Amino acid sequence: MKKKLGLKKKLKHKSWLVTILCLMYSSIIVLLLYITLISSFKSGTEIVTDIFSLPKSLDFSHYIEVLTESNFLRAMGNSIFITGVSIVGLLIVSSMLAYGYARYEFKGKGFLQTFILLGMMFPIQLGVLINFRVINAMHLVNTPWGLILIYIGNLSLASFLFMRFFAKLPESLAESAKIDGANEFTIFARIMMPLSKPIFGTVALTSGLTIYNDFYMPLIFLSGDQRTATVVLQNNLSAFLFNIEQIFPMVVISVIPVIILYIFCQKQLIEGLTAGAEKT
Amino acid sequence: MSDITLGEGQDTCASPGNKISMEMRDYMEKAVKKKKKHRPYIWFMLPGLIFYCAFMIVPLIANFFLSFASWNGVGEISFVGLDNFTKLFMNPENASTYWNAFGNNIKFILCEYFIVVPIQVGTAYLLYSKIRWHKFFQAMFFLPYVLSTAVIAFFATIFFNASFGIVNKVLIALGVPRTAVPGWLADSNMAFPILVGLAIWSSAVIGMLIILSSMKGVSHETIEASMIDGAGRFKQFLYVILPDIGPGMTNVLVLDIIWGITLFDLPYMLAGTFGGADGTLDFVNMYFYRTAFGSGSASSLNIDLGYAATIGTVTFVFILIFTSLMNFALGKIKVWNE
Repeated sequence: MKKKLGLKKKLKHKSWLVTILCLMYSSIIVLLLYITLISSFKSGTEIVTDIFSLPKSLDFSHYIEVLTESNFLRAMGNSIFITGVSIVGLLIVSSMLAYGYARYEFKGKGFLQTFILLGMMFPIQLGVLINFRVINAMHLVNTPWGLILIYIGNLSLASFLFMRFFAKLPESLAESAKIDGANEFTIFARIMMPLSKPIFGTVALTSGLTIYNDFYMPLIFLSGDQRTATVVLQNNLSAFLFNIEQIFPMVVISVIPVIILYIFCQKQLIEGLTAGAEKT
Repeated sequence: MSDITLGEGQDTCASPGNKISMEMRDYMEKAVKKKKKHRPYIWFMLPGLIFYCAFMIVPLIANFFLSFASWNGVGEISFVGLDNFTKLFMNPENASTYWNAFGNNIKFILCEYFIVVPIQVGTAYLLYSKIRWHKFFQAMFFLPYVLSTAVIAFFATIFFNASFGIVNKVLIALGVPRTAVPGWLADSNMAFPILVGLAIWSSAVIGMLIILSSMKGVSHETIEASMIDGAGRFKQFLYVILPDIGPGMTNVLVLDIIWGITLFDLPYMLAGTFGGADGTLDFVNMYFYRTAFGSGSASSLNIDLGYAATIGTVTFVFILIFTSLMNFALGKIKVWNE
């Protein structure tokens, strides 16, 4: 008993040091977000001479400039449109795929699962060259639709999350509905989908975050007015000092949606993002 | 499931001579009819499989075949055998660019393995042992991950910029002379460590959370038993928890290879298309991007897509070999532990 107490005391002492280290580490992101926010109200010279100083006044002129004169509002719109449509498509297509997989027994079921999970092993970037040619042949390069098709095709993780969920749903519900004469699609839409709201949420959030933050695909497929927020932001970064007054408000605006997600849906995001690794 | 077994049963039961009730026969016939008439699972899976094959599987396979051909994107595709591979590995200029980039990828993966993974395991253990405010810290560690790479690159600029960045402002305030402050990102010796640091800061948390969730799966009985046996905290970690988080670790190690070999966004944003003047931050995927898409010259006529595809194919083969090797090696370790 005595020994145990001693151990506990030792640990407690140790964890103060750990707490302080963790606090210091955590403060980096807080400091950066804080500096970004206050700098968005400052002039370029103010930022360069003293990055820590508070703004002289709450001057929204750079925000107004970014939203009215630059193409950033358009870029935000593109990002949100592409993300939204891709999520809807991905949810429909991958939930149906996973439901069909979970509900029915057929030859080669195990092979099909491996096949669907291949997309998690070989990132979509490896096929981008061919994808570009295909989308080009469809005349969808530099439109949101080309990207949306590719994002929907990249369904391995979403399908995996759905498969895992549907495998746990009780079969008896579907069976009783079947006896009542409901067809398979009605069972899926009326019984299974409402039961699966949590997993739909998780997949929507995880894929939404990934698509909204994606840089590689929009960089290749979109230009000019069609660019997404990440690409426009990166283009401005390459001439940082020249665009310094616009960059800070841009970062603040582009970060707002993900910070909202982070505050309200952190648990689902973590679940979806780490689940991909649990396949073995 | 029940449809299938009934269906199979029907053949034997319905043969003449067998006496079965009409009711039963009716039910079976219905079931068989239903099974034959529509196989709804095909219709459920078809849309997904079409999208997946068209934009994921076929491009992968086609890319593989294209690496044995020559194509400028519009004209004829001609078979050239292994010419593209010779061009990649035998042409001194290409080979040196490729091996420099590939070396950087390997360097990055080694950093992941020997620096990042220990940090992930250590941090996961801290959160697992419920240090003070562990929920708050988990949330704070996760925060940079939700931000896009463009925002991370932006933070890197305001943090490390030589003239107005936060670090140098602090150094100057601490008394370091203005002329002696480091150049950080502008200094090619520091670019790589900064890249690794940024990668840890922005995305190591996912691996950490994967390891944490496998730690949470370690049975409490084993841990209690080890405590009764008098194992200290460190021994307990080393002999009880570490061997038991195998599956999570395997996945983190495999994912590190996949992410490490396809690294693109962060070095591209920090150092440009060529990964800096001397290629310190040049990676295989950036060489691929330059070759396939140039600087906005995707439609240019003298572009060699077969050659670009070859770079992709080598990456593909690399992932295939190394993930299988990892799975094999880690499978062996698992067997030893049992």
